[in-house]
Amino acid sequence: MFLRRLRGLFSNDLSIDLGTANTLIYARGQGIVLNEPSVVAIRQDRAGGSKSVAAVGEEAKQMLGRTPQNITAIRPLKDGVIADFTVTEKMLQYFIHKVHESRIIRPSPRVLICVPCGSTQVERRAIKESAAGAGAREVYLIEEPMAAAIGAGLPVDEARGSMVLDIGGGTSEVAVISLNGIVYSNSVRIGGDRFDDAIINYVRRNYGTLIGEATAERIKHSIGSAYPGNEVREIEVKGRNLAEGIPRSFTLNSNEILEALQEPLSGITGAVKIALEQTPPELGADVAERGIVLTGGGALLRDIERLIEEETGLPVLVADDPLTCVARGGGRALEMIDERGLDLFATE
Amino acid sequence: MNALPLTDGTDERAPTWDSADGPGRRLRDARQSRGLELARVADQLHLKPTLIAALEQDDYEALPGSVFVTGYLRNYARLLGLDPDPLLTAYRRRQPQAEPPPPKPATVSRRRAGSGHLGARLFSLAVILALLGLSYAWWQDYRPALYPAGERLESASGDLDLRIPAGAPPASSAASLEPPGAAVYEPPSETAPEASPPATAAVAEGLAEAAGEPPAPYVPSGEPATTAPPLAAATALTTEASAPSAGPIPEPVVEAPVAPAEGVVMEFSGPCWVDIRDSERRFKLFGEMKDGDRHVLAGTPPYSVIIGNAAAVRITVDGKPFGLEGIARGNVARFTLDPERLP
Repeated sequence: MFLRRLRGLFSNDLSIDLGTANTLIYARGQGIVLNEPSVVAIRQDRAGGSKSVAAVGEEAKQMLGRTPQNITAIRPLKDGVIADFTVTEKMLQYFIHKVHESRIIRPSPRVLICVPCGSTQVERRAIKESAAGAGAREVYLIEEPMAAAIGAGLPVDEARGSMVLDIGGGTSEVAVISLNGIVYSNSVRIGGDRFDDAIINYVRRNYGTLIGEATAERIKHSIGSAYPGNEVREIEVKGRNLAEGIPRSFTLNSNEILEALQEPLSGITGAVKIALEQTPPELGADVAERGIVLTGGGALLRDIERLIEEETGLPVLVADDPLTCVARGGGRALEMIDERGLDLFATE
Repeated sequence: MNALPLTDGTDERAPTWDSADGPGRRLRDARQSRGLELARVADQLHLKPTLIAALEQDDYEALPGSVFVTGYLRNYARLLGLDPDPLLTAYRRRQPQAEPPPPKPATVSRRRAGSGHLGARLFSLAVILALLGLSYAWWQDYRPALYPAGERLESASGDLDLRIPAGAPPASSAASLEPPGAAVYEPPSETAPEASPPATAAVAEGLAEAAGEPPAPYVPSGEPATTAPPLAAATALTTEASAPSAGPIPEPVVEAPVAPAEGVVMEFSGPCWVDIRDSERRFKLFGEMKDGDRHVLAGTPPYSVIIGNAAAVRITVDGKPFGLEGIARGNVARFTLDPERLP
C-alpha cells in the first residue's frame, strides 16, 4: 500500500476514456497523451499453449481481419463495456505504461475512467477491477455524458439544463445535466460500430459484395453523411463479390451511404426525442433556448447536427474537438474534485 | 428544408473585413448581401432573433458560454456558406479567456495540487530526503552515546539545568542565605563551554565576598587550573563558596580522586553497563563504564538504577557502603535507590 503511494508520487493522474473503438488518455497538466484504437492482438502458438500479447493499439488494429491462425486481433470492449476482462486489463496496463514511458519506477497513477450511464453494476465493477489490475492506485468512475459535458465546456454547475449527446463507438449517450448532476440520462447501444455494420450490410445487399470493417470505416469517414447535402461524393472500394468469389472494385456515393445509415441514425434521433420527452419542462426550455451539444467521434459524421436539428427543431452544435471531449472532461473532473471537493463520481 | 440557395457565395468575402473586427460584422455583411432577414436566419438556426442580433454585434455578454457561441458561429457560417474557421479564430482572439484551443492542455495552476503536481512531487521528495538525513543524524548521535565520553558531556549539561532549581529551596544550612545565583556556578570540567570561565569568575568574586567565611567540606580538584589558568585563584575561591550551597543535596558529577563524599558514589572495578535516572528524569548516567570510573549521582533522588554487572560496582551512600547482594539477579541489578530512606 505504502509502496503504491510512493510510486504514485512519480505518476500522473490520468483520465481514461475507455471506448469501444478508441481509448484516449488525458494526463493532468499534459493534455491528451494517448489516442489509440482499443484493439489487442493475441498470439497463441500452439493449441493449448500460453497466450501472449502480440500488439496493442494502432499496430493491432492494422492486423484486424488480416491475421494468420496463431494471432487473433480482438476488441476487448463491446457496447462500451468490457467483453473480455483479462484482455482489457492487459490493454490498460500497456496504455498506462506507455503514457509513463520514460519512468524508471513502475507507474501507479490515480485513474478516472468513464463508464456508459447505462452500464450495470457488474460491468462497472469489471472496469474498476481491470484498471486496478493494470496498476492504478485508485480508480474513480464517472458517467460518460457528465465527462463529455465538462469536456465540451458546458456550464454544468449552473442551475440550467444542458443537453449533451455523446456518440461513441459502441454506445450513444444522451443526458440532461444541471447543477453538477445528471437529471436524465439514457444510453442506446448504437454508435460508430453500428454505422460500419450498416454499411457492410448495405453493400452486401445491394452490390452482392463483402467488405471488411476497416473498409466500411474508411467509407464512413470519407463520404458518410447524416443529412442530404448539395454535393454528392464518391469513393471506389474493393470487396469480394459473393457470386463470383473474386475481389471486385465498385463505386459508392454519399447518398447510398446516407441511405445505409438511416436505421442506426433514426435510433439515435429516437433516443434524443425520448430524452426531450422525459426532461422536466424547465430544463427542456433551457435546452430549447441554447441547444443540444454533440460530442464523441460520431459527431464528426458529416451533417449529423443538421439531422438532429431538423428532427427536433432545436439548435444543435458540435463541441470543439468532439473526439477528446470525454477524456478531457474526465481530466477536468479530477481537477474539480481536488479543487472544490465535488463529488461527480458515479457509484459502483 | 435546408434550401437556402446561398452556398454559391464563395466570392462574397467582404474586402473590408478584418479578422480583428470580430466575427459579427462579417456575418452581418454576408447575410445582408444575400438579402436575408434576421428573423429568417433565426428560424433556420432555431435560435431566438435576439441571440442572432447579439452574435452579429459581437455582444458576447448576451450569449451563453463559449461552447455555445462557437457552435452558433459554426452553424451560422454553414448557413451562409462561409468558412467557419476564420470566424472562430476571430472570436477566440476577442475572447482570449473564452476557450483555449482544445489540443493544448489546460495548465492553469491549481490551488490544491494533486499527487501528479510538480510542486507536490518536489515537496514529497524533499520530505523523503529530510527523513533520510534525520535518521542518519540520529544514528551518528546514537553511537557515541554508548561511550562514556559522550555520556560525560550529557551529564554535565544535565547538571547545568538542574542546579538552578536545586540550589534554592532545600538548602538548610547557613549557606542557604546565599543568593541562589551561587548555584549557577559550575565546577569547570573539560567539557564546560569555553565562555564560562570568565563569566563564572565574575560571579564567583562577588559570591566569595558575600559568602563570608566559607566552610569547605571538600575541595574539588585542581582541574580548574588547567582549563582557565589565569582565573585559577578566583575559581578556587568560589568552589569553596559554592560547595555548601549543595548542602544535603547530592553533588554534581565531579571527577576527583577524593575518596569520602556525600551523596551516592559509584565506583567501578570493571566494565559495566549502567542506566541511572533521577526522579525528575533530568539527570541520567547511561552507557558503559570502565574500570576505575567514579561517579557521584546528581539530580533529585530517588534514582531508578539498572546495573549490568553488579559485581563490578561499589556503591556508597554518604560514605556508607550499599550492598547489592539480594538485589542483583545474576549480574543485573534493577532497583530504586533513595538515600533518605536507607536504614
